[in-house]
Amino acid sequence: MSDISARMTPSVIDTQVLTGLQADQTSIANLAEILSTGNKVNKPSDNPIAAVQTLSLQATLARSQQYQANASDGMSRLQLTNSTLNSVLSQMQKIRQLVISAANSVTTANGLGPVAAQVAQLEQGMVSLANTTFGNEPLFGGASGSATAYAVSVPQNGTGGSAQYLGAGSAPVRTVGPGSSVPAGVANPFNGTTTANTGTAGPAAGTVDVFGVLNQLVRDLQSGNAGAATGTDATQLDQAITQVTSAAGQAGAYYAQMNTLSLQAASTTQEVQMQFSNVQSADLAKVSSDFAQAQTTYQGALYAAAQVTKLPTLVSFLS
Amino acid sequence: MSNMGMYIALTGIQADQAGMASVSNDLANVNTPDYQRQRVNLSALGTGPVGNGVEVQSIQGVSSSILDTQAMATGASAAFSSAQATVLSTAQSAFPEPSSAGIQAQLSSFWSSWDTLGNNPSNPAARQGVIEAAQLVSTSFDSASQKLLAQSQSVQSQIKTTVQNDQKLLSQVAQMNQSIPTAEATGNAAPLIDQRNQIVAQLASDLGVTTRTHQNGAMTVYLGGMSLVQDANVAKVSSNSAGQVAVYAGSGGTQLMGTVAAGGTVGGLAAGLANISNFQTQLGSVASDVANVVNSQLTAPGKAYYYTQSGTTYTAHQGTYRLFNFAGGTAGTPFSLTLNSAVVANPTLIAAAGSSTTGPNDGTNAQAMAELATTPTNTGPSGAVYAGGPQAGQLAPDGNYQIFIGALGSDVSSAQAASTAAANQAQAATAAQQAVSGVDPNAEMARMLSFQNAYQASAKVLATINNTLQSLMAAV
Repeated sequence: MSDISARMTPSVIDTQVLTGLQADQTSIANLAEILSTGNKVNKPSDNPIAAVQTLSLQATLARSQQYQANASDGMSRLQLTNSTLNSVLSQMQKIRQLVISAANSVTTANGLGPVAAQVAQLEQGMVSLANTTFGNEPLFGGASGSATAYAVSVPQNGTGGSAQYLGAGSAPVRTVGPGSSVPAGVANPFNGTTTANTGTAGPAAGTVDVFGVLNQLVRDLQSGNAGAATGTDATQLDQAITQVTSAAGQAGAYYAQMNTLSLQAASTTQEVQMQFSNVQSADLAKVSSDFAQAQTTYQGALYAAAQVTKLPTLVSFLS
Repeated sequence: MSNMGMYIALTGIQADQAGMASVSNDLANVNTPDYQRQRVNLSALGTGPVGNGVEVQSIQGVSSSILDTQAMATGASAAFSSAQATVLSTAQSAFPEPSSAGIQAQLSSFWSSWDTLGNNPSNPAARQGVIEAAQLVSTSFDSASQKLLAQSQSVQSQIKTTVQNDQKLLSQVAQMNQSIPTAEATGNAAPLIDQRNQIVAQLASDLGVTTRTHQNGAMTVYLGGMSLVQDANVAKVSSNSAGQVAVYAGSGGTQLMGTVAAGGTVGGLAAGLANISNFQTQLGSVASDVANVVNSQLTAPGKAYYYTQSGTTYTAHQGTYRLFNFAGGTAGTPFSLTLNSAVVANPTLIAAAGSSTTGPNDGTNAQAMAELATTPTNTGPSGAVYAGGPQAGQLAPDGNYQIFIGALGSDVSSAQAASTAAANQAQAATAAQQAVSGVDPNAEMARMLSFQNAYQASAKVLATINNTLQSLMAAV
């Protein structure tokens, strides 16, 4: 601290001893803070660069965890979409088989009556599937606030029947990565029109309204028009099945896409957590040993201080 | 001739007694701050072949003016750095980062709450969630700003108190400027000088004053080129809100020159004030950036909509409601970040939808909002409040905040490092000063022994001359 040649007075020695002890205490306090929090950086001034890194990792971590949460929410919506569309498809296949077997076996117009009743019932079942909700939203209604996605009335006695799509907008999306979002469902997979439709044409040219087609089939069956039922109606039913199958396929593709991105988010989370712990977490073994060493140093200094202040002066030897 | 010898021995005894008194005084003051050990200046008397003995010419405090000046200057700079570092460390405590309680964590929860809303736009709980997260963000920013304000007020009052106290110390120096020359003429002025040194050391540590001692023992005290004390005249000092010192010619006098930046504790506190004001500006810039970014996303024409319900009918409205109200006057003053009470009362007004033709289950605008956490805001929000600090529109709000915390951390850590270094320098300078002026009991013992030996020798001489005289008388 001072030159060897300088006069050492007791007050200089005292100050030096005290300063040394205070420095030891400060380093013990710093190490104790690290040990008690387990963190290397407890204040921005501890290491400004590491503090900024930590904050940025903290933000990235929160974001990627949110991406995972978004993805798992979206995936459950897509799973419901898929299973609902698959149930609808199996109903449609049943209707198709009924129609084909009717074409082969039933010859009289009256014989079509029970088939018509069965098909009408299956159609009702499909309507309630089409109005499945996810939370409080209609699953297939896009972003609309309507309680149901489709309003369908099934024909009776060969007349009436209409179908309308009540939803609006495309299917909701989920943000599952920085700047990447994936639809969490499909909107209007049954290709309904937004005005009540009594025919079979879908909103776009060359497409069919699934419930319009079914209504037409029921009407023809009810009125005993076997030719139409097994002819044009059956062809349109095939097109309807293709359309719904393709919607289900799309939902499946979205699911796979979301799953991939979700896994990416999970691996980002893991990676960031690892970096986070590299930047933020203290090496406890090292800190513990530093702490023990600092304590030893402090005790040594205390002992030395006690000895130095006890050093006799000439006074003790003069009698 | 023999009378002469006895007289000489007597002067020796007197000088040695003075010497032992000086030793005794030194030892009595071994722990007195700023006490200067004494030197007894002896000089031989007489011009004849033998001489007339010895006399005490003066008793003088031992000091080195270079070391004294150095100790004062380093003491002032240590006081400066230490005051600034303390202010900065306290300012830093307003920002508990990195932790899960800091503003960064609140911002992250805030952005996440927008995703939750985006996933469930028609869920009232999700809307409430956004309001609550926003409330936490605004409270965090506000309370940090208020803490900085409270701290700057407390620092200002510390400066004021210190300067007021120093005014009294200056008057004391002026008084001693009259008593010391008198004491020096009539006798030993050392105790008064010690006392004045102590006062001046305090003034140096408080204000960073410098001094010049005149031939007659009077001392002039300077601050930034202006004399605060000259002979018996005292200037009036006062501090302004920025911690600078104004000097007036005596109480009620006119102000001399502009304000001076003081050194020492007051200077360090003033530097700390400037730092706090800078933090306030930067934090304000971050907060206004958050407010601007969020508000412009919520009110973007053709991109932000909220839906109202009447029976089963939903109506789309262009988003016009801001979520945050930012109010902050000029740079360096506290700001306030509050929530729009209309939105708090009716969270339906949050424009979560991105289109007027979809429906209330459209959450795309809320989802876009959530992405602002990491997306740079290319559309620089209009009306950036401050010229200083991180520029709005360059980074995502989170990034601006992180830069601010980094800058704060480096300010604090460099102030702490400077403080440690200055303290070491001051300690070294004090040690050097003490090495010259301090009392060392061992040295005092040695001095005592030599005075004692000389005293005993002189006494022996006296006795021997006496014996010689008596044997001479007996022989007669």
